[in-house]
Amino acid sequence: MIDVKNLKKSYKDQEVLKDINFKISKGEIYGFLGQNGAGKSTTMNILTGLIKYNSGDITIAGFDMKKEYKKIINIIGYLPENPKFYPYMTGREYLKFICEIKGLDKLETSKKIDKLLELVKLNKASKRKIGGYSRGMRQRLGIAVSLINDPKILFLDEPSSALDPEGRKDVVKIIESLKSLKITIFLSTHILSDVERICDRIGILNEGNIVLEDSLERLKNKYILPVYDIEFSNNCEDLNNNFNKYDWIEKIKTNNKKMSIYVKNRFKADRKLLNIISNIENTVLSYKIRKSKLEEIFLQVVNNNE
Amino acid sequence: MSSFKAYFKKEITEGIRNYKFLILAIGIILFAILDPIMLKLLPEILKGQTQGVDISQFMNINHRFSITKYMNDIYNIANIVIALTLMGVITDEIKDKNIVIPLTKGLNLEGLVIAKTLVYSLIITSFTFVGFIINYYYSQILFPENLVSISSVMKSCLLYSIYLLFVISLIYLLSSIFKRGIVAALLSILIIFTMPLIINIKILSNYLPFYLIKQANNFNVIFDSTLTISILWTLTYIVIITVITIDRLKRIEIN
Ligand SMILES: Nc1ncnc2c1ncn2[C@@H]1O[C@H](COP(=O)(O)OP(=O)(O)OP(=O)(O)O)[C@@H](O)[C@H]1O
Ligand SMILES: [Mg+2]
Repeated sequence: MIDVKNLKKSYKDQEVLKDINFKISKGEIYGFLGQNGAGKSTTMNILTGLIKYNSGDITIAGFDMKKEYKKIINIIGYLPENPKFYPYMTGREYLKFICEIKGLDKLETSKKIDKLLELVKLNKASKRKIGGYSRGMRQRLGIAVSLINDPKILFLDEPSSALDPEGRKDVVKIIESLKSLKITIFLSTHILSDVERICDRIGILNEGNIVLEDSLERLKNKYILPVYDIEFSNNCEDLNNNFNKYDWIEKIKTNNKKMSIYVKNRFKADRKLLNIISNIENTVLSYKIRKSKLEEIFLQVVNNNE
Repeated sequence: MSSFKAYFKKEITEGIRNYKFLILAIGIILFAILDPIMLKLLPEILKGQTQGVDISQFMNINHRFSITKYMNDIYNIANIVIALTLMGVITDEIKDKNIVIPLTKGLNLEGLVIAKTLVYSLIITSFTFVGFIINYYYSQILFPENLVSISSVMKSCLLYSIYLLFVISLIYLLSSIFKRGIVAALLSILIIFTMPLIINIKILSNYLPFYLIKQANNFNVIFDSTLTISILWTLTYIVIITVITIDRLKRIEIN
């Protein structure tokens, strides 16, 4: 659905995007990560045709960005980083205004607006002026606006970043509900827990290049050493020697009855670790694999590149 | 066409809800009422306060003088009010990034600029006509001497309106060039007030929009070939300026 090749973009002397390449297939939710100022919004603005780029080839749903921009704009929706609306309009009026720009049929319009207001839970506030909306409400209105032309591809620039936990939950829920509509979503953020919940695949942008790109699951397996947390019924601080001889174990930490085993090879650990433990004369109370955090991958990758 | 329609409606909503139309109405129409009253009261005030000053020039104020006073105020004050009210009409769209979402929905900038031009042209032209008519009858009641015919005042009013359309397009152009609305407003005011000086240069005088004002102030507007050509030139300037404004907006990168 989205195919970007050798994309370059500079502002005066500053090279923001050096050589960006990625492909996103239909129905996929792609998480675009990067620190502040990495160039996420710049990439989004280029892909939605708002700003020009220095060089590269961009194809969206088979249409060429330079030659067939008008066709592209009809099948995409965009929620900018800080969506701005005319504050003196009500939410409903704004949606109607956008429908008018699109030249949509009037009857069709009002039905569609009702449906969208329902989806983003703004039915009650729809007759209030946008100037009085909270940040979360404006973000939800922005999502409704981006969906107005039934887009095949949706670009969401930090849809949940500026919101409180409550507002973030609402937005994440809405995005999850879009997943079932088979909309391809390109989502930029630096809130990693949201990415873990909704994205199929992620790309990390750092210093103008995509330094890492893979499915979430594979990234976790590749980048994070799995940790096994084991709790014994008695003190376990003298048990280290039972484990030290295996080369697939990286290190061991003990604290009274608790032990954490960091392994290099998850495959071997899964098969052998339980076996070893069962030979120890200390009863095991619990045995858990710690879930790896995307945050750790992110920091690891970004720091390695510096 | 759909962008034009959407923005035409939007500008009207905005003009009403943000009081822009009200401010323009006050700026243009208020003096139509105030000026004749002031002129009526002035001799009384001066009589009480100044001893031995020759106030005879205020004693024989007539209809024509009263209307001239209003025309001068339109030029001096309404121009400034218009510049300050319209300075944000284009810059705010860009500065506040309000235009970003419409752009991602395929907004056509020609439609936007033409809608904005048309809405404010219609509003300002109507207010100007209302102002001239009110002023005409008010002045007639207070100064029934040396009456000027309504038709000649309407002709002057028409020239003033065309001139103000030029002012609107000028403000739009400047606000598509400068990021800050106030710069555009001040610069357009500067241009408006230096035009009467340039008009003294003979070769240029007939081709400047200010020529319309000069003719309007004569009360005896004859649409001869010189004036017609001057009107056509002004309309041509408006079209050219609007085309440049649209082109400028298309080049601006908003993000
Ligand atoms: N219009 C502009 N002119 C000059 N430099 C710009 C412009 N827009 C962005 N930049 C620069 O480009 C870089 C990337 O900005 P961008 O907004 O794309 O980052 P981002 O990844 O979206 O960051 P954030 O997480 O803060 O939203 C920044 O260093 C920024 O200063
Ligand atoms: Mg950004």
